[in-house]
Amino acid sequence: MSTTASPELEPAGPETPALPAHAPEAHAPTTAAPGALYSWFTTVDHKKIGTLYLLTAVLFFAVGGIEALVIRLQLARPNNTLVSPDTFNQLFTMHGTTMIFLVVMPALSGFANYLVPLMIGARDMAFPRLNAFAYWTLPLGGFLLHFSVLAGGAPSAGWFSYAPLSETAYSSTMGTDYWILAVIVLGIGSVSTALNIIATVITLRAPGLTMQRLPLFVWMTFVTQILVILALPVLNASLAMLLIDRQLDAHFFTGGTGGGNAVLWEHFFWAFGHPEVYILALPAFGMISEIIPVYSRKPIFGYEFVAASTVAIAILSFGVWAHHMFAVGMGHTTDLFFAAGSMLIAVPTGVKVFNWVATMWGGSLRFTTAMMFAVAFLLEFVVGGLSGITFAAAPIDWQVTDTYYLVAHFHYVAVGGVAFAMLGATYHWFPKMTGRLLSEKLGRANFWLMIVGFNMTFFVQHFLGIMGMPRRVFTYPDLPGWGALNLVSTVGAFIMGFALLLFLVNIAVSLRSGQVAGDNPWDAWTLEWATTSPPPEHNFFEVPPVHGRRPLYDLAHAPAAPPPAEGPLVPAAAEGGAPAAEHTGRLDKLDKFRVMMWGFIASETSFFGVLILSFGFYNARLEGGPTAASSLDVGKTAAFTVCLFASSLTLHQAEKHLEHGKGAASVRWLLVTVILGLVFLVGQAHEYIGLFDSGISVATNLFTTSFFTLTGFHGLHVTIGLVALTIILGLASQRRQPGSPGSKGDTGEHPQLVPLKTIGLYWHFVDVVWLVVFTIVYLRAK
Amino acid sequence: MTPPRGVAVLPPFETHSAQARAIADLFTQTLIVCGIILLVVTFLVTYCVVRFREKDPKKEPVQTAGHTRLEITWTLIPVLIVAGLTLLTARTMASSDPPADREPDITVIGHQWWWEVRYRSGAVTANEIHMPVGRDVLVALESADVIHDFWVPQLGRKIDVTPGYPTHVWLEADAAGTYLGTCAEFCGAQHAWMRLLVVAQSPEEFAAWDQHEREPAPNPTDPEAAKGARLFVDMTCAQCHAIRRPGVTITQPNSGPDLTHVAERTTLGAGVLDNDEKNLWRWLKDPQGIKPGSHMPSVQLSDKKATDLVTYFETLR
Amino acid sequence: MNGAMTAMTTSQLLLSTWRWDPLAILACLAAIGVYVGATRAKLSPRAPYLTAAAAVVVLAVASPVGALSDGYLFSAHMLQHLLLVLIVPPLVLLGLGQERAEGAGRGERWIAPAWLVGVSAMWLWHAPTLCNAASQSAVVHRVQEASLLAMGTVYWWPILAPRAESRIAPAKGMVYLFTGCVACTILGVVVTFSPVEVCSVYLHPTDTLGVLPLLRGSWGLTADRDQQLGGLLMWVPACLVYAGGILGLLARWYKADGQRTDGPLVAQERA
Repeated sequence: MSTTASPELEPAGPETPALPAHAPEAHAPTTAAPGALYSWFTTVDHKKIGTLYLLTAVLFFAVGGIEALVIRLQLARPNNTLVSPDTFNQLFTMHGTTMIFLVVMPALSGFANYLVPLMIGARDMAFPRLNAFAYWTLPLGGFLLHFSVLAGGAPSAGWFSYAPLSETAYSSTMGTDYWILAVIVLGIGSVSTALNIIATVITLRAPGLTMQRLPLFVWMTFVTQILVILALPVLNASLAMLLIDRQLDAHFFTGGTGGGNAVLWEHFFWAFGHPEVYILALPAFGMISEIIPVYSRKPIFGYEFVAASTVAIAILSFGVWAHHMFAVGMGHTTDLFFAAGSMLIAVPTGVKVFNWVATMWGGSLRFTTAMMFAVAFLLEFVVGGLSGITFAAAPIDWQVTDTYYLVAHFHYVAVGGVAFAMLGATYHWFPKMTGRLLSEKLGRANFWLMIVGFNMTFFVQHFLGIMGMPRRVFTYPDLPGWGALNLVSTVGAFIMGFALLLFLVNIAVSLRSGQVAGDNPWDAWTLEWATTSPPPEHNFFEVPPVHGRRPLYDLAHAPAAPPPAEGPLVPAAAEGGAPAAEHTGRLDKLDKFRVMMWGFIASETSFFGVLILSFGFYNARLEGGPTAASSLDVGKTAAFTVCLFASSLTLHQAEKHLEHGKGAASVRWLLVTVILGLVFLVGQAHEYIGLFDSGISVATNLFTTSFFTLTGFHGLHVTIGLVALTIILGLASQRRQPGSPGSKGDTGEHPQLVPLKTIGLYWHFVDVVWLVVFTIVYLRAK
Repeated sequence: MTPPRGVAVLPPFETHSAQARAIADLFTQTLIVCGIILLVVTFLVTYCVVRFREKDPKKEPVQTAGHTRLEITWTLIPVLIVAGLTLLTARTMASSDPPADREPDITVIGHQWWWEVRYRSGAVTANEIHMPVGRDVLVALESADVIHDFWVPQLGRKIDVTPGYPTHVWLEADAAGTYLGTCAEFCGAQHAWMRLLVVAQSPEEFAAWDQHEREPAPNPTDPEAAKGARLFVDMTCAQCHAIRRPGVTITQPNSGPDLTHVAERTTLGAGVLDNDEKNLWRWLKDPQGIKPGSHMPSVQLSDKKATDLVTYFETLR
Repeated sequence: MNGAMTAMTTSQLLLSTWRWDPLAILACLAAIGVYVGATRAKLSPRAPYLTAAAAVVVLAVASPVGALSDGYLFSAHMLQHLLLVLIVPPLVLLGLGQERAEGAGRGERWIAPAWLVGVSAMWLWHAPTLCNAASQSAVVHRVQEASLLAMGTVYWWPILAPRAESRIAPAKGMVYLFTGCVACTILGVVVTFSPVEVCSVYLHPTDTLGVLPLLRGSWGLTADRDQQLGGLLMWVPACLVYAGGILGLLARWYKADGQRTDGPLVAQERA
C-alpha cells in the first residue's frame, strides 16, 4: 500500500491523456493520440467531466466578466452614453444569470465531480452516464441563453425576472423565453448531478469511511445537493408557470390583470433563490474547511460543529426567503419572523468562521497561494456576512435594499467568498488534477491584484448605496461623489479582470512547465492524495484503510504494530470496520438506485408542491369564470383514477413475481399495469377534450390555468413512467439464454428486477401525487 | 437633472422625519455591533497569520481537534446578539412604519417611467410631491403596470409599488426643502430616470400651492401660445396628457403626466432634464433620443411647431 | 357590549386570566402519582424534564395562553397546540428515557404510521369544521388537547423512546424529523397566506373576559393578523423545534462513530 506512484504501475494508453508523474518533459494534457479529443465528448469519467465543467465555467466567466466590464464602463461617469438603456439592462441580466448558472454552479459541480469520488475512495460516481448527461445540459443551457441575442435580444428583466415586467406585455422579445428554457435545462442538469452525488456519497464510500468521517468538502457538498433537489424544482415549477403565462396568455403572475399575483412570483422565486445562495456558499465553505487545516497542519477544529452548522444552515435556509421581500409590504408580523430567521442563520455561519480561526490558532501556517485565498476568504466573507446582518434588520433593508449597498453585499459573499474559495481550491487541487503545481510567483501576483481589484470595485459600492444610488440603473445624475466612486469601482473592476487574466495565464503556463507535483505535495490527509497526480482512470490502485477523518495522517503516524482485527489492507466486506457496525454500516447497504429514486421523488415533491400550492392559492381567490365544481366531472375522473391506483397494485404484483423469479407472470402483471396507465391517460385526454369543446382553455381563468398546469404535468409524469415501464416490459419479455449478457448471471436475480423496483417506486409516487391532486382539485371542489 | 443645492450626501443618515431617524438609529447601532464583530475577527485572523507562521517545518503543532465548551460559548453569544438585534428591529419597525389609519392624503401611481400624484384635495401633478412641513402625510401607492418602488431616503423607508397589491407609506418632513427620491425596483428600460422630488413647504405655502394646482390652466391669450394649445390637441398629445382647462370637459387620460401646471415643475421626464424652455423644446422634438424606450413617441415636429408648443406650455403655471 | 368595563391592560391580562382547570390539574397529579409510584419515589436525574413538561402543560392550559386560545386568538390556539404536540411529548419522553444511546432500530416498523399520526395531528385539527368545533364545545376541546398530547407522543416515540432499542437510527431520524418539519411548514404557509378564515370562530369572539379591546387595540391583532401570526408560529418556531431535534440526532450520530473531538488528538481514535 504505497502512497506514491510506482512508475511501473502507470497504465499506458490513450484514455489517460493526463501527464504521468515521472515524465516532467511531457506535454500538456491533449496528446496527439487519435480519439483523445473525441474521448472528451464521450467520456463518462468523473474526472474528465469535472474538468469539462471547470473549463466551461471559465469560458462563461470570461463572457460574464466582459459583460461586467462593459457595465462598469457605462457607469464610470454620470449621464454616460456608452450603451443604450436596453443594452445595459440586457447586460446586467445576462451577467447575473451567467455568473450564477453558467459559472459558479458549474464550477462547483466541476470540483464536486472531480473530488467527491476520489475523496471517498470510489472509482467513479454512482451513475457515470447520468453524470455525462448532466454536464451536457450546461452547454445546451448556455447556448439557449445566448441564442437570445440573435433572436431579438437577450433577456432584460434582471436575473430574477420579476413579474409582471417579465411578462409578454412588458418584455416582448423572446429573450425572457430563452432565459426560462435555459434555466429549466440547467436546473435539470443540477438536479441530476445532485442525485448522483447523493447516491455516490451514500453508497460508494470506502470501507471504514463512515458518514461521520467524511471530509468536510464531501459533507458540505452532500448537504448542498439535498438543498439542490429541494430548491431547484421550485424554480423550475415557477419558470414553467411564467412560460405558460407568456406563451399561452395565462395570468399566473400578471399582477392585477386577470387575477394574477405578482407577489407570488417573488415568493416562489425567492423560496428557490435563498437556498440557492447557500447552494453556492456551502461547497465553498467545504473547500475552505479542507484548505485551512492542511496549511495549518492541524485538523479542522470542531468537526462536528462545522458539520452540524451546515445542517442548521440548510434547514434554516428554507425559512428566510422573504428577507428579499421586506420592501414589498407584507406586514410587520411576517417581516419580523423573516428578520429573526435571517439573523439566526448567521449564527451557524459564525460558528464556522470561529472554527476556521481556531484551526489556524496554534497551527503551523504555510502561506501558499491557496492558503492566502482561504485567509482572504475569511475576512471578505465576514464583511459580506455582516452587511447581510444589516439587511436582516428589516428597517435597514427598507432603506438600502435595491441599492448599490446590496450589490456590494452580494458581491462580497459571492466573489470575496465563493470565488476566492474556488481560486484557493484551484491552487490546492490543480496539482492533483494535472500533476503540476501552479506557479507560486504568478499566484501571489494573482492574489494581491485580486485583493486590490476586488475591494476597490466593491467596497466603495457600500457607500454608493448609502448615498442613494439604486441598482440596475444604466446611468445616474451627477450627484456629489457618485461619479468619483463609480470611477474608482470601474478601475477596480479592470484590475480584477487583469488579476483573473493572470490566473488563467498561470494555469496555461503551469500546464506546460509547472513543477511536477507528485502524489501529495501539500502533505494533506484525505484520500484523493493517496493516488497519483493525476489519478489513473480507475482512481486508486489501492484504497488506504480508513479509521478516522484523516486516513493519510493516521497512516503516517500509525503505531508500529497494525491494530488487531483490522489489517492494513482493505477488507472485502464493506462493514465500516467500526464495532457498532450494525448501524454505521446500514447506510453502506443502501442500493444506489433506490437512493437516487428517493432523491428524485423528493425533488418531484418540491415541484408538485409548488403547483399544488399555486392551485390552492388561486382557487381560493377566483373571481368568476369556470370553477372545479362547475366544469369537472368527478365521477368520470374517479373511474380512471381507480385504474391508476389499481396499476400500482398490479405493478407491486409484477415486482413480487419477478423477485421470485417468475418472469412470465411478472410480464403479464406489468402489461396490465401499462394498460391501466394508458386508460388513465386516455381518460385524462378525454377530459381535456371535453373541456376544450365547452370553450374552456388554459387561459380562461386562473382555475383553468392552474388546473391544466397541475394535471398536465402530472399526466406528463404518467407518460414518462409508462415509457419507462414499457421499456422494462420489452426487456423483461425477451427470453434470455443463460450465460448471455443480461441473463440472470451470478447474482441470481433477474436483470430487470432493480430497474423495475426503481421505476416502481417512481410509479407509486406518481399515484400518490394523483391522490393528493384528485382530493384537492376534484373532491374538495367548491 | 441638476442636483439641488445642499443635496444630502448620505440621505439615510441625513434624516428629516421621525421614521427615517428611527431607521438611521437602528442602522448606526447595527453597524456598531457589526463593526465590533469585524474588528474581533480581523484581529484574530491577523494574530494567527502573524503569530503562527510556520517556523520549523519539522515540528508538528499540537493536533487540537475541538473544545465543546468553547463551541457552546461562541454559539450562545451570537444567539444573544441576534436576540438583541431582533428586539431592536421589532421596535424600529413599529416606529418607522406606522400603520395606515385613515384615508390617504395622496395617491401615487407608479407608471413606466413616471410618478402620477393625485391629492385627495383634487390636485394632480407628476414626479413631484409637495407637502406641508411638520404634518404627517399618508401616501397610498398603486402601480399601473409593473413593480416599482417609492423611495425618498431622507424621509423614510422604501416601499414597493406592486400592481394588484396596494401599499402605503407615511411622509413627514421636519424642515422645508427639496428631498430627492427615486424608483428603487427595476421596472424596465428607463428605471434609472424615474426620479421623484418631495418639496416640503410651510403650511401656508403648501396650502397656496395646493389651491393653485387644483385650478385649471388659463386659456392662452398670446396667439403663439394659442397655436400651441391647438397643436396640443391636433398632434394627439391630448390622448395621453391631461391639461385641465376651464369650460373644457375632458376624460382624464393618464398614460402620460398631467400637464396642467407643467411649467412649475423642477424636472422633465421624471428627472432626466431640468425643466426650462430649451430642454422642453429638446424633449418635444425628440423624447426617444433623450429617454429611449419611454412611452412618449417622437413625432415629427417641425421647429416652429415645437416652439409654439413650448410657448403654450410656459403659460401653464 | 362591555360599555361599563374599562379596557384591560397587558399586565392585567397576564395576571388575571389564569384558570385553574380542574381536569388538567387532576390529570397532572395523576401522572405524577403514577411516576412516583413506578419509580418508588427515587428521583432519576432526568426528573427535571418531567417537571418542565408539567410546567409547559400548565402554561398551555391554565395560563393566559389557554384563556386566549379559548375563542379569542387563533394564534394563542396555535401556540397551545404547538406546545402540546412539539414540546410536552419530547420533554416527557426525555424524562422517562434511560440511556442516551442511539437506536438499534426496533422501532423502524412503526416509522410510517408514527409519522402519519404526528402530521395528521397538525393537519386534522385545522380543518375548519373541526377547528370551530373545538373552540365552541368544551368536550371537543378536551378531546383535542388529549389527542394532541397522545399523537405528539406517538410522533416523537421513534426518536425519543425511553428504551434505546425502540428508537430508530439517527440518520433515519433526521429524515423523519425533516419531513415532519416540511409538512408542518406547508401547513403554516397555507394558514399564513390563506384569505379564508381557517377557524371562523376567532373572527368574532364573545368577550366574556373583557380583553378584546386590548387585543384588537393596543396589541393591534386584527383577525387577519391573528391568523397570519398563527400560521407563522406553526412555521418558524415549530421548525426550530424540528431543527433542534435534528441537531440533537446529529450529535448522537457523531458520538456513535467514536471519533474523538475534544482536546488534543493523541492518537487517532478507532471507534
